[in-house]
Amino acid sequence: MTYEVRQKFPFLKRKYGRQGFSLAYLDNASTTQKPQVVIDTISDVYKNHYANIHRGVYDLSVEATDLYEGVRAKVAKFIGAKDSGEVIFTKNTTESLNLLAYCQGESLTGGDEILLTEMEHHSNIVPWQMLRDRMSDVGCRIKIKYIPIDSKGRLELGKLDKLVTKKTKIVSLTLMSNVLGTINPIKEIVKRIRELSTVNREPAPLVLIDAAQAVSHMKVDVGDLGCDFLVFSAHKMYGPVGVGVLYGKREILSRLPPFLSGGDMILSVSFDKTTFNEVPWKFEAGTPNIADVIAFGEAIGFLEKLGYEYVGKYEMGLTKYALERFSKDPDIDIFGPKDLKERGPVVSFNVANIHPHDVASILSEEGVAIRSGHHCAQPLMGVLGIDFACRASFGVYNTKEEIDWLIEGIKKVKKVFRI
Amino acid sequence: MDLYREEILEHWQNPQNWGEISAADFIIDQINPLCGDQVTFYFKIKKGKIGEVSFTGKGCAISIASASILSETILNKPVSALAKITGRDVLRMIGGPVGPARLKCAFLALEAVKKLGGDERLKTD
Repeated sequence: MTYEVRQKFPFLKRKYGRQGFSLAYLDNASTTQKPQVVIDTISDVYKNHYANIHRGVYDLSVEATDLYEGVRAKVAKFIGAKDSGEVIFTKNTTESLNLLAYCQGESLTGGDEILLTEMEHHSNIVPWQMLRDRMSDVGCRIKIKYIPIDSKGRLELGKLDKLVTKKTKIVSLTLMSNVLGTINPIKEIVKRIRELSTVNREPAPLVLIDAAQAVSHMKVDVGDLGCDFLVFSAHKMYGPVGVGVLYGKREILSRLPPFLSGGDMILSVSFDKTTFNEVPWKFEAGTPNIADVIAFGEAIGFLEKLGYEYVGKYEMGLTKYALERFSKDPDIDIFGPKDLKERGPVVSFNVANIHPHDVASILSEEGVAIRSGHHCAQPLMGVLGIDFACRASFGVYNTKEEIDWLIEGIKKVKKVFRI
Repeated sequence: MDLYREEILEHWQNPQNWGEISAADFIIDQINPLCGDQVTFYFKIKKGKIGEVSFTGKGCAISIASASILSETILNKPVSALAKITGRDVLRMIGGPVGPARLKCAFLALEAVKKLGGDERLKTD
């Protein structure tokens, strides 16, 4: 099966490194490579089906609109949304989070609290901090709190009861950490949050799930998770760059003000006032990323054809192998849960006192691509007591052999640095 | 290209002029926002020259070695000469190219040193 999967990815045909093999691309948590079908679809749209959507009465525009809206319906089904109106296309996860921080965030009032976690990506911290500061400028004090993590890199859910108060209005957290690989028990968390609000006799806070890391590895179902919002990006799940998704419950989205404004998000405009369009179009001002959205449909098809049962099993097999090989080397520090049931296929580590940039540079010469740095999670780095880390993250086209190259590469790193 | 040549590793293991100068005339921080690498340079100026220089920081072998080598090079040089140091000069100092992905690492210390050269307070002296 791996062979068939690898055949679908043209990037593997290019030769790298001293051995002249295909690249061992182990930076999938950052972005994934694209299968031929996604690449071909982008080209096919521009060749055969391209026109602006929601505008023309001519056939080609109708065709482009149908293809675009067809993917919206596909995404809705993919994540278990009730109807496709609950799916908004954005540029990426970051834009989806910013949209919510603007549109939902400004309904907050003085004393309200936003609850995040210590393992969030900057994109799920900075928009909320900016919201807090904007509100503070108009005399409205918002507080941001963080669910801490334990020494194994898991959320300390025992502290949830104290952290969720009558004032908590938004809880925004990741389904899977981009550094630790931790998969958070969202269902359990949402259930507890709802129970607490019943006790507090307050409406439950809105729960926003950042599924950017999780969505290529595991089945994500909004009904099952019980969340109000879910955000993710196409480019981390074998789809094109420039397409993000924001799922929201229809009744909540309908209440929100628009984010960006202009064409396509209106019903009527006069010199004095504007009547906004219905959801989801209210949130999609201007000509959207038509070709990439259509190609995103093929990425979903690619994952669905493989099936999450296969994907999960295969990638966790790689993760198990990598963790086993890493743990044999006392110079390698691994971060995140050791228990495979609590994590996904992202492994962060450090090699002795060698800076991750140096590790990644030497690995690059060996034809192995890993990420090095703070992984857009500097607050988490502080909690872990480190400044930087190396990160290997796996996708459906990776192999155990590539992990062997990684291990051999690390041996080379240690040799160069005389460790 | 041998990125981790002897000289770089030597300076990484034993950085020259490492530490703080307690009564420094100038303290300059420089951060590489892409990776979070950071250096702090300490300078004491004597008669328009770099009388003392030291640095601390956290970073990769390339950025630490570049800072170490650069600090040795600028000692006793006129402050006015700092603005003239180019990236090419730094690459020459550290013994050759580092490849495009690591230029930011190699130039981190240079950015800090150049900031001193452009410091307004120096011009009023």
